[in-house]
Amino acid sequence: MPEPQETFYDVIRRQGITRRSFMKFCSLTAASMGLGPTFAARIAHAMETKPRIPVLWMHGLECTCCSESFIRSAHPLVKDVILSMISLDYDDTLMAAAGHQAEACLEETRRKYKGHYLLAVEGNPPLNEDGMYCITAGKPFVNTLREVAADAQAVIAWGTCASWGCVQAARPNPTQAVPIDKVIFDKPIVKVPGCPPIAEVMTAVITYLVTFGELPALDRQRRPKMFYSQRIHDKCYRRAHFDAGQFVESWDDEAAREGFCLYKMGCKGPTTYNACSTVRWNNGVSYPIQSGHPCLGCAEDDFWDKGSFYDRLTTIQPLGIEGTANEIGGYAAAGVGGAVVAHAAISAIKRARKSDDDDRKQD
Amino acid sequence: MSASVVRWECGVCWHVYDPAEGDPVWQIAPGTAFADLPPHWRCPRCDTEKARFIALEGDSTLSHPPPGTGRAEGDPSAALVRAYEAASVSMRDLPVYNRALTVEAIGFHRREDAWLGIVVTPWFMNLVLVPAMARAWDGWGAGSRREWRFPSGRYDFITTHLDGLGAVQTCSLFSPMADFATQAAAREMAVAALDAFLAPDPALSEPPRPVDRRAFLRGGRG
Repeated sequence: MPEPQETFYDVIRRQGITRRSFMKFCSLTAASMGLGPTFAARIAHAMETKPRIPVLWMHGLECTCCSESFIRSAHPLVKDVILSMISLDYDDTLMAAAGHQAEACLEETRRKYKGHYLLAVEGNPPLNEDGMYCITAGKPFVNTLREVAADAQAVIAWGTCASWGCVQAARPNPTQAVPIDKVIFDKPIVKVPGCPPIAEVMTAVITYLVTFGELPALDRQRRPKMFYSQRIHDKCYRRAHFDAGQFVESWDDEAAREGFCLYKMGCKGPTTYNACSTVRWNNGVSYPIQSGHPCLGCAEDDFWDKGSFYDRLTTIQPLGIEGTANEIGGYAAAGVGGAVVAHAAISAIKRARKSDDDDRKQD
Repeated sequence: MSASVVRWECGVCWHVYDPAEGDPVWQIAPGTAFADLPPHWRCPRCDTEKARFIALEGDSTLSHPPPGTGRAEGDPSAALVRAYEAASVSMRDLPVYNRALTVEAIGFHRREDAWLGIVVTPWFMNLVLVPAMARAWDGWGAGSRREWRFPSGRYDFITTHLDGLGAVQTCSLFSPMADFATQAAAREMAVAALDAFLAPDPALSEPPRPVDRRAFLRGGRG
């Protein structure tokens, strides 16, 4: 029988955070996930009653940009609350303990909360030479990852590294780095790609998992639909210039100053699914396109291997993530079947719609 | 109209102060001109002082017809097709241009003070709103967002300025258009999408249940 765990609410009250601030956090969190006011109450209830879920945060081959993004979650309360909300029992980058002491924490959490902890993975394991290219605590990272994942409730793949492989898996991939779903097969995995992912997206995903104890609705590539169902292009504030055929032709030309579309400069917005153009970065201040640079497509699989960042996008995957097998042939001829077209039309409208509660819940 | 229609942009973060909207952060009522803002007012987004704001170009009072003089426009389909056909010249050689398609305005009809329909071009399919009073929205900056409520839900539309039409609002449905092999297929999709757009969503017609304070305080789920 494990000793009773503190709830999140107990912890923040002990830290002197007022109930008012706590309620404010709940509604902020609900809003950041696009959930209605009724969900704020659900979040508050869950945080008052559910024990804090321990989180183990492991680092493989990576650059720590995901952690950097995460700890810079814009709202200071959100950051404090998030870091105290998730009982971050092990994170070799952020924890005070080091060496054997740190590894003891990992062991202890695994034993004590077997089957009840979340595993967050930043970076990925290299498989070449039996995993010798990434050693943590004297053991190949891939072995530790497999062991810790075996007792986890669910796994979060932070960033493009853990989700798709990123730069270390780019050709010729000498270390044979692979995304984590190539070594973890029997656990639910949520992929949160981006290099790094947006801080608000990371906090919202982890809050959702911790408060509701279930996975958010995922798309076919296992990304949370609430943040990855639209392309940058769909909601880009420069989209009107694309529609009107107004493009930046070279850096610093008049069109660049006017803020025209960056497609010709290599923008990958039309093929990249992420929330940058709606959530934006640094507390909603800006995002790459707004600061005048094309989107690199960092949230997409293999973005390092798709040619130069400044090459014009020529191959465009015709399928939206909502696409079904029926749609793969394209909407080839009129009358292929009214039902197929109607279904695709409804999906398109749903994608364009501002999300409401019914889209957020698990399908 | 007074100078109150001029919008000002923050020189640091590009936040736009729109007199029509006021500023909820500083509790400035809509209709307050930039010049009438209190001296201690700062950018609500990045806290830059008022002096760093720049009047938005093309936003001069001259471009706004006085209220009442805008004449009610007829069906904007032809003008939309003309505007986007002009744009297709610069799109034609790009890989996003689907040569099987042409520019077409589909299903435009009057809804209250705007025309709603779908524009299909070889590079996008958008829902488009055109103001019924000509150039009524010209004060809205290109790329600015507005939320519209329709029977099926809430949608963000982006402002775009077109030759011959002035400011219209668009909401992307498909882009690029590689999925469509023929114009007929695109047209069929546009008609179906407009139907879905205007169909009431049962989930939305039911008002959200208010949080019951008593139940909430007792630990219920509200």
